[in-house]
Amino acid sequence: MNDDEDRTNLERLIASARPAGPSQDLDARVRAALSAKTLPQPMRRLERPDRRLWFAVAASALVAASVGFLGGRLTAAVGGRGVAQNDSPPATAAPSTASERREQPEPGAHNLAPPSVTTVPLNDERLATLFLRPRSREGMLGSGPVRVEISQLP
Amino acid sequence: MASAAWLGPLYEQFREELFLTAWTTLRRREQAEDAVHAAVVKLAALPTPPDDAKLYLFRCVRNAAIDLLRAQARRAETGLAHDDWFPAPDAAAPGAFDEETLASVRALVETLDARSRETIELRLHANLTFREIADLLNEPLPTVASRYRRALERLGERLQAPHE
Repeated sequence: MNDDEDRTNLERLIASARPAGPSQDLDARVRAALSAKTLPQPMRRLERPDRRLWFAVAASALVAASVGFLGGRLTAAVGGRGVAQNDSPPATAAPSTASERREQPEPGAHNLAPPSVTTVPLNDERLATLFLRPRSREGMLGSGPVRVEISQLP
Repeated sequence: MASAAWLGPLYEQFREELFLTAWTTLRRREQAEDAVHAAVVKLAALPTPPDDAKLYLFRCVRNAAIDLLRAQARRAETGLAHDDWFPAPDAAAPGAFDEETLASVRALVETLDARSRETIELRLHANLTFREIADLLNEPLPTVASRYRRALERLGERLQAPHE
């Protein structure tokens, strides 16, 4: 009997002396662990409605943005046509002084202004009179009639 | 959550080898089963299967067994239970080897150093190849093969010694 054959017999002998395998209890525990780990898989399917909800929200936002854009364009078109129909120049006060004439914009600059802007070439004092009632005017000595009293006492 | 669909068939295929791998380190049935269970729970949490799933599973079982052994040492329990052998009902054909011979072989295996005994048992009990043992122990293949050969020669000498 050579060494290789002896070794093979010895290996077979040692292999025969191995202990028993695992119990059924371990199999049950492993199955329970694996089933517990796979339980959340159906829950993953519940995520699909969430995706649909996100798509619905995104679509709604897109539609709202489109409607708003179209509405803005329509409003601008209607408003522009209304301004174009008003061919009369805006009513402005005629300049009375030389300074007011200087403050009056040049014709070229006036053409550059958008048609919806009204230019009022008045100085500050006259501009303020447009927004003040006559009663509320106030002079250097106050509002109302001036009363002068003279006293000879020191 | 991870899907452990790949792990179930792998465990079913190697359940006995996995248990024996843990048993090689722990020498106790209940603890070996605990190590296998712990490894399966750990692997089931992986998001994707590892590349070499079999090696990864065996390595996890061995690591779990080592962790249990260290925890056992920390609890200052007694040493390994060398008398924790239990007969394998289907380990060999009936009448191939008598129980007295098997008991003497078990006692001889226990006399080996831990690394040699582990190599012998992983090869002959868990049926791992030398390459798999080398990967599992993180050692070069020639080291594992030569250690196995030397351990086998030592066992053969000790087994024949009383009869000479």
